[in-house]
Amino acid sequence: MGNFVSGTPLISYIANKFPSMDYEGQRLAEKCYQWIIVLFGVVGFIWGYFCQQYIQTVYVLGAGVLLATLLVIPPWPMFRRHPLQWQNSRKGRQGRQDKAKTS
Amino acid sequence: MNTALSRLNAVFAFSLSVLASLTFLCFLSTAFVDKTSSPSISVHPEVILRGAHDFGLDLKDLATLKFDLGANLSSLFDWNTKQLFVLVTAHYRTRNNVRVTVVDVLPVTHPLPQPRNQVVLWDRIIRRGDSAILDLRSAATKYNFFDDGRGLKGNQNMTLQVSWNVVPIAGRLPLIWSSQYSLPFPNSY
Amino acid sequence: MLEGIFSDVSRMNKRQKFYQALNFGMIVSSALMIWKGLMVVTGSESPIVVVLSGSMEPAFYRGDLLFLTNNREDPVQAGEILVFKVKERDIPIVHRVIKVHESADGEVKILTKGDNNAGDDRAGMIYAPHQNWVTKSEIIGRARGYLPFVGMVTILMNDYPMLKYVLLGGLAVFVLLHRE
Repeated sequence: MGNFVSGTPLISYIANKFPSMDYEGQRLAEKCYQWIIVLFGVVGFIWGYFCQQYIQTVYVLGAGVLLATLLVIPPWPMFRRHPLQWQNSRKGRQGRQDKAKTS
Repeated sequence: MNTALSRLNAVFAFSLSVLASLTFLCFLSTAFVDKTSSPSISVHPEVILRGAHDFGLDLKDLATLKFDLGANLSSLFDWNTKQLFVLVTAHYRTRNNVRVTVVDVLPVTHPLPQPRNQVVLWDRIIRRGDSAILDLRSAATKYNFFDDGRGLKGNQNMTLQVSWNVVPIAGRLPLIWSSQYSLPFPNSY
Repeated sequence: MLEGIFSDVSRMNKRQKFYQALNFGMIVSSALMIWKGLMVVTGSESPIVVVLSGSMEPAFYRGDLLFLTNNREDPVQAGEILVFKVKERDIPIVHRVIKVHESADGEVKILTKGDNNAGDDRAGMIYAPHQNWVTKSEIIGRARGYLPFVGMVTILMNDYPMLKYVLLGGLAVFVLLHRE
């Protein structure tokens, strides 16, 4: 239940349809897209310089962005391998407040 | 809070900053490249002068001439060049520019602007992928060569100059001049 | 999301609220300072302009950014790209110089033309009625640097004025209400 998203009903509806990444997964996802985009950027820069066409650099970078998007936007199972171990809920208000803070 | 939307936002922002850095690097890699070249230009001797109406009521000097232009500007295209804008410009002084004498007397370092007339006679856009080799034979001017008065007749300090404006994908917009071609004008209409 | 932002504010005391407001003021004034600084360095009253029309294609497209200078010592040359204002037109024009006549008293008459236009600006009725030349006082600057696409946001804001208020309002709300 830690993945509740507030905001407009439509956005929260769509967002809640996706299961969310755990914290380890978020860290991994961030590393993933940064490495992919930088790598494609560097390769694209060299390739573009080789062809003497800057547009080639942009294309290669674009491919990297597309790949990163596909890899990182949906919460693939590999980003959900470290689920939080929630404590059993205590009765009464105390427990609910704790949850609200962590969400 | 980490949602698909916030990740999309982060990926987008990160890609944009990488693209900006790459573009800056591309600009740096070409910032110190020499953009000069040495085209050749010559003008056919029969320059025809007459008085004509440009706009307004005054009669103005209008010159008609044909020129040859040969240039290979391929070396100016690198991966940060979008297009070249090539121009043939006439430079001359006229009698209205009284200050010519003043400037000639003053030391060269004096920062007075040169009194001058510049008229673009012809231009062409050479885009990336177009042939950058110009070989024009007795080409007519693209624009009418009107003076702003009657200063063309017998003008002895007329020069033609080829120049180009390099339009980059990102970076500086230099206007580069090549050497001048001197062209005395006839004394009669 | 919205509730989260307002909860930030409700948790602030008076001092923190003032601090937020001052912080916002500082962002606005530093932006202004940078702009004014550029004006001093470049000598142009508007050192950065966005291309708003397609008349200079294929060199510049709508949404491209131009950096201008306007040094008095550096005279206008034929072939340069000039940014100038015309009476009774809100938007400055970005066109190429095709004629320069500088007279003895330093007065300059300039004729311009858009690369993508068939005729010059006098024939193309770009100038004000009965105006034949661009003069010194109308010059905003000469294009010296170029960046593509970056001004696209400005174009969108120009085309959809509502977006401007939404964007600026959103930014102000974010800075004012979000605690660092």
